Amino acid sequence: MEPHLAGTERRLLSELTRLDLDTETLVETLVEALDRLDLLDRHLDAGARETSEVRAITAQLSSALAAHGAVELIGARGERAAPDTHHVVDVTDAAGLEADTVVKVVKRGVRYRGTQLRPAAVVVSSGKGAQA
Amino acid sequence: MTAIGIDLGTTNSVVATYDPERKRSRLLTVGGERKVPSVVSVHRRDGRDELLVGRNALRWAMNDPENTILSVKRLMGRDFTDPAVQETRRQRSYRIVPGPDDDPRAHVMLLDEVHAPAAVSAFILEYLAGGAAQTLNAPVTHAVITVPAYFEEAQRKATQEAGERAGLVVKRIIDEPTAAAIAFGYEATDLDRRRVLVYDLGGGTFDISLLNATRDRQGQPHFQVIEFNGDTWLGGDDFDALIVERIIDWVRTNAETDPSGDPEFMFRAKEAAEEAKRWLSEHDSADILLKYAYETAEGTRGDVAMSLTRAEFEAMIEPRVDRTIKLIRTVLDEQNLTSYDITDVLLVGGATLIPKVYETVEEFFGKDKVRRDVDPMECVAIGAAILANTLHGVRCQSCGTVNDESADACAECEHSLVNARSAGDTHVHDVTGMALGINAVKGSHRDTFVPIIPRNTAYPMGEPIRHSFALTDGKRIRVPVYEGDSMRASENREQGVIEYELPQEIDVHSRVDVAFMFDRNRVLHVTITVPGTDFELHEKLRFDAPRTPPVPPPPENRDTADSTDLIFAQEMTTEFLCDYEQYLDPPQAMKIRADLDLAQQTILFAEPAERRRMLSVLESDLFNSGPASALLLADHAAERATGDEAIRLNQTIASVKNAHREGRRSVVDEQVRYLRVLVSAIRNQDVPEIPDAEDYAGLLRLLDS
Repeated sequence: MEPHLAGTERRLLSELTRLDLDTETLVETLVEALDRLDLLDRHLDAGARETSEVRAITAQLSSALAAHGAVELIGARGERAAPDTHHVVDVTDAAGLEADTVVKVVKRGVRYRGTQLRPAAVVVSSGKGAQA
Repeated sequence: MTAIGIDLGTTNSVVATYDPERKRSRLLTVGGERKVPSVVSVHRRDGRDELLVGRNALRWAMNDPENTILSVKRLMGRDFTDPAVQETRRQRSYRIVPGPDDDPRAHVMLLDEVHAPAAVSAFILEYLAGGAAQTLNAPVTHAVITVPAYFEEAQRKATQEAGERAGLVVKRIIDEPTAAAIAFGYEATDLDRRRVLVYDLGGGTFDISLLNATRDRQGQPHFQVIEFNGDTWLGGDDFDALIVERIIDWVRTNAETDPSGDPEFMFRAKEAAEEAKRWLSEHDSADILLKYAYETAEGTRGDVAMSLTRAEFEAMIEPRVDRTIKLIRTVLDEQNLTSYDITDVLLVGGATLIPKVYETVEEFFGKDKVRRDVDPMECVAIGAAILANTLHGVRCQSCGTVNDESADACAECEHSLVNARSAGDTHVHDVTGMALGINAVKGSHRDTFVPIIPRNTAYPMGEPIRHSFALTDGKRIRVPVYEGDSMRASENREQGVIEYELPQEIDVHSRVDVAFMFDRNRVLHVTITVPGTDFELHEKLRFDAPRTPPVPPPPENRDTADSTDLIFAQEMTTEFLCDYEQYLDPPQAMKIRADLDLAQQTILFAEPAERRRMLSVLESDLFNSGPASALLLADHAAERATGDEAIRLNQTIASVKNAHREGRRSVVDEQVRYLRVLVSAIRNQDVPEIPDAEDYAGLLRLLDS
């Protein structure tokens, strides 16, 4: 390869790496904002006027992230937790739920371009109430 | 061959590699992380059990705390009864049990199966090696593994065993401070005649080591660990816990509720504490805001909104930081040194990045001495990696051939490689932190510690160190090996035991030599020989054998009893010498006369302990003096024997005396053996007037006692 082309390739790779790191930081920040919205939604007084608005913003943000092909959100109620994607914060007995089923998402997890930026922090079912 | 350095930590482990040509080291990520939690757990799903190691195990800990093994390093090679093990039992949720088949060492339960700590460490090492291989894109075959300087024989052996179980050729087990010093030394320009203190404040433990560092004529650095101390339950995690406690206190004060039982609150508080600790390293104040963090008395969710200043944080951790300085003073006092005598201080461990910690150390030693140019999180692994890639085999002392580290004997000339040095050696010399020796009998004291390898001995040793003993129990020998500095064996830590039955042809009065030697990995090689015979036993220490039972306390009113017993024994021994001297070797007779003189002095002037010791010496004279003792016992037994027993006994006594008169030694030996069997049978019925010599269960006796 011509020397000036090799230099260009190096600069390009460096720029792409920087962009990737910037995007990672942006994604992490947005997921943290989603966590705060989730928290707000969970604890707003029943029938509060803001509830629908909070939910709308949460959905909008989630959709925007999900639409980005390289971003994958982890952590949803009802999914089976796994050690490589979920951090178990607590275990609870939940009627009708298999062991390791996510009962509550404390913090969402996120993966960017296949690399896990953080796991989801979750409360899972013990499985003791699975037969109920 | 791909070799790595592994810092196998209590809380986290780190892996590094080193390119000797470019003199570049680098950390290897394992599972995407530079610092891997030293944790093993199990994920049970759909009837299958999957072993989890590292971060995944930690994430799953809450789900199955009983099957999550944290800080297994605290248990490595330790007995179940060890206070450190009992403290770990109190602090951890998993089950810690004694080993199977009377193995006194602590084991852990994982999925209802008993595992040695070495096996659990092997899971971690295997994971680290596998992850490193993935990063390097080459199979990892060899490793240098680090251990704390205070690790004893059994603990080092357990670590080496863990490496081998993980499929690695363990090139060297090296002290953590030495590894840190290697990482530092390769970058230093002026290392001559330095005295280096390594201050290692990790996640859960604190270690101080004092090293002497010099350069030889070729410019190669030498390191010797000359002193160490520490606190096995003090680390950076304590600082996080203090902040969490402060958050809990804030809630208690402001909301009059205790959130510490809420796992979700504790998770968020711990995350916030770690973040605040990092923030306070560079800022004067940190805000801790946790929305809807706890349940109020009214049933609503309350917020944590507090701030923590650096001054408050420093005041919180000050007692613990001061404790580290107190321990440093102890180390310096032990060596009669002051802070002025230390030329360099190396900061190791993530917690040394906290300003309060390094500023306190700088204040104590002087800022110019404290080196922070070595990454404290990485330097131990990097030092190990340097060594792993500098050593390239073991050089045979006989023919010079370089063999692989896994070889026991030279591939070329079959010469033993036990005391061979590594090829490409960096001339790094670790020294033993404590004396290694055996429990033997001295006089009547059965709890005597006889050091064989003294403290501060450099290894690999060029040749073994030998010590001579006598037998106490016929052919059976039991050599419990202890490590420590107390003259009482029971106050040191038992590492293992060697038990052996000597062959019949060995005279029970023979001298027995015990030789100890440490190879380059501080693995102990024990040789037992009987001078004047071909007998030579190369035995390995059994780490899983039951420990030596505690010495029973002396009975009450023992002092009076001792005097009476000693006078009685003196009279008996005088009679014995008079009646059986012809059956004693001249040196034996001389020794007994000298013992009688000494006994007279002891009765008149000595302390009770010395009288007991003398009593034991006379008892030994009476009952362990070859054919003469056998005849004494037989004559006493014959007075009680009746019928056929009496006839057989008297015939055998006559045979012994005849054979002795005729100088037929082998016949004497044979008849004496027969005599002992007969006497034993009669004694089992009733021969009360002969006091038994104490049963020492095969312990060896110091020759000069």
